[in-house]
Amino acid sequence: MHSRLLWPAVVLISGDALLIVMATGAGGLWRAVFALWFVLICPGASLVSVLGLRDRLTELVVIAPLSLALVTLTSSGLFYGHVWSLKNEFVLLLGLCTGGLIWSYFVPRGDLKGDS
Amino acid sequence: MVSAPTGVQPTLLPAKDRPRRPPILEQMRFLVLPIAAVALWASSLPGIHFGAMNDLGLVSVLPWQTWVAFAVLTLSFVLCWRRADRMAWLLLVHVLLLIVMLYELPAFVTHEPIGPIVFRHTGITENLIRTGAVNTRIDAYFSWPGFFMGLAALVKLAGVPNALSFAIWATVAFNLLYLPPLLLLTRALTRDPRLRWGAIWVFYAANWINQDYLAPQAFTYLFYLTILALLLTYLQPRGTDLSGAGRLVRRSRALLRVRDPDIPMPAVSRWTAPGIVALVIILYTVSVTSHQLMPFVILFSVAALVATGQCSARGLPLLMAVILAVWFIFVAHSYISGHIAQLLEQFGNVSQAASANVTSRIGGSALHLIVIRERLLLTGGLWLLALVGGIRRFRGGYADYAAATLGLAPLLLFGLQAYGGEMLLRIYFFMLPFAAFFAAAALLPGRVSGTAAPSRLPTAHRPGFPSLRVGSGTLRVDLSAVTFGLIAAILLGGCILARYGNERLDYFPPDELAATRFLYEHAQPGSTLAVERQYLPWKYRGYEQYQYLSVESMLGEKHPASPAQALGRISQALRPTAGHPAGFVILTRSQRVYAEMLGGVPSQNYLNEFERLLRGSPKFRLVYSSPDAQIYLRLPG
Repeated sequence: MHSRLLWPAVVLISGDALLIVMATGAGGLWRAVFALWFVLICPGASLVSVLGLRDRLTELVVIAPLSLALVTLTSSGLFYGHVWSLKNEFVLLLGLCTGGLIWSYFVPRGDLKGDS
Repeated sequence: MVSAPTGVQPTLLPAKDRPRRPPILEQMRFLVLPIAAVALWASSLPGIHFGAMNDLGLVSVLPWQTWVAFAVLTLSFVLCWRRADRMAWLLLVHVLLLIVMLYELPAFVTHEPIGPIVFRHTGITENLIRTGAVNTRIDAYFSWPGFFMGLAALVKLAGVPNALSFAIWATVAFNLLYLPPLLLLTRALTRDPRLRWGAIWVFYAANWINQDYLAPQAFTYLFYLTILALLLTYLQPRGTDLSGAGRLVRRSRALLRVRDPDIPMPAVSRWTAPGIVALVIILYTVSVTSHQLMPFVILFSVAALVATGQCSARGLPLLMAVILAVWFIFVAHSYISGHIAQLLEQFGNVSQAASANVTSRIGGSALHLIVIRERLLLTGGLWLLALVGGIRRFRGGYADYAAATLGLAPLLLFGLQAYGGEMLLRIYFFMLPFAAFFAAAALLPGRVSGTAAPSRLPTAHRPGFPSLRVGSGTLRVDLSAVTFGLIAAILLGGCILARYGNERLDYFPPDELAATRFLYEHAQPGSTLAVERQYLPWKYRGYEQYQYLSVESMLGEKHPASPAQALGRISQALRPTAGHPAGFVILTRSQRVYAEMLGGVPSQNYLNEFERLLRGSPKFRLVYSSPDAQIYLRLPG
């Protein structure tokens, strides 16, 4: 699957899965696994296409560090703004993912076509 | 600021010249040995008894099956490594298995976090979650809280009680996360697949530093590797990229005879270079918010690359320095202003750094001294091997300037400050990817490896076990594989001894963990908790709600307290009064092991006397007792 479709699909499915698990109040192992996956993958995957990388290895390299960095930055912003809570954090991350996907969609296609 | 690399296209061999990939089923037979290694390793786990360790650490209780398992895995890796151009997926499987088998070994046996620091980090995260704010007056951690804030988000999203739920698996998780940037980094350094995979194997087999647990250091190390991998892959100058460079850069390149790398760069778009710089800035900013030391390492490394004309983003170090300065001035100012004299005193004091990092660390019991000396030997051995590899590579005309620059840049940290006597350890950790690269290069046959070497291996390297009866060329390569295997095995064995040499101390038996749980269930916020030495699994909740006192701290004063005086001062500090609940004294096995293993003060005789007085004191009552822990409550009066 091309990364133009792959990463949005991953982000949407992962975000929805975590949202459902949290909304239903389910706890335990599944929620931890979904949360870890979401934190490690989704913010980075939603924005990686914007970077114009044409190398799949580089995309894979970038996703987890970028995700962790964005989670840390959003969390830091909320803490220093004295508005940190689980709800605010999750909403902000979902908004970031959505914004990243929209931005990726509007990046001109010609710029995203790669050789590898 | 950024000049995008131009005019470089990937170099690919014509299809007919590419090595034929053996069918996947044929390669599957190379999984037999790794599977056997895993089976042996798993079968050895029940035979590992942490409670029976001596001061050599984990090696003193490892059954023979564990050693054989690592030997078989190394042998299997070397067999695949000989055909690295065709067996990347198998080599990846071997590296993944090594990561799990080596780094998660204690967790599979104990099912509990190892070492006291992860408990403290859990407490800092719990403080942030509970209060929703950052109080920089608590301690230095709160001036660099980025990692803990991210961890707080993960803990709440995951719905787990605290960060200890992740601590057990953090080591293997971080090491797995390091692998993709390491792959990218080594791909940017050489086209030789054996050198790439050899470097990665050496990296994991020689990482004895044990700085990859749930901590800001491990977290920001991921950013360090990623930043360097991205810069070397996308922003190394090629062709005309340096036409606008300053005279200084051009002179330093001429002086050091720096040549352009001949590694093909991935295809880029017009967004790539600005995108990479933006990404680097994001990762660097998070490093600045999370760790005291790592921002300096990254800054020095990037500045060294720019100064030697090996990074086309010439404004990057300045931007990084500005971010660092802003953080120091506006966020970490309370810590900096409180410690400015201490920091300035250590700055540039190399003799003090040498004393704190080497001399003062050589001490302890006879068995522990063996571990310490083995660590020094392992470190020196790897650096010597890297030096040999570096000399071979440069004499062979390979353009490894970036690897050499980045390998040497962390040495600048040595005179910065002693970092609690841990600076040399950290320097080893930061140098490791590049030391591993050159060490692996030392073990390769010279004419086959190199950036300019063809990406396929000679046809004599057919799949199969090593043969010594074929022509001289094959014999030479087989001997290099044997040498690599032997050195890799020695490094791995040395790493197990060095990495897990403190395990007797760092292992907290269930009794100790139960005792601290009891403590937090009964100690009211505001009370004082006293110990002999602050080496126990505590502070994971109510981080700022208790006062802490240790006998050890009383012995660091100008007039050290006698055991009776120490007990008197503790008795006074723990006495219940209005608004100050009764305190507790906690004695655990690990505090005693610390004195036995590492020596120092308080001595064992001192502790024996202190405990005798405590047991006989009418002001204290024993409220918890188990073979590994006792807790005394301070009575009124």
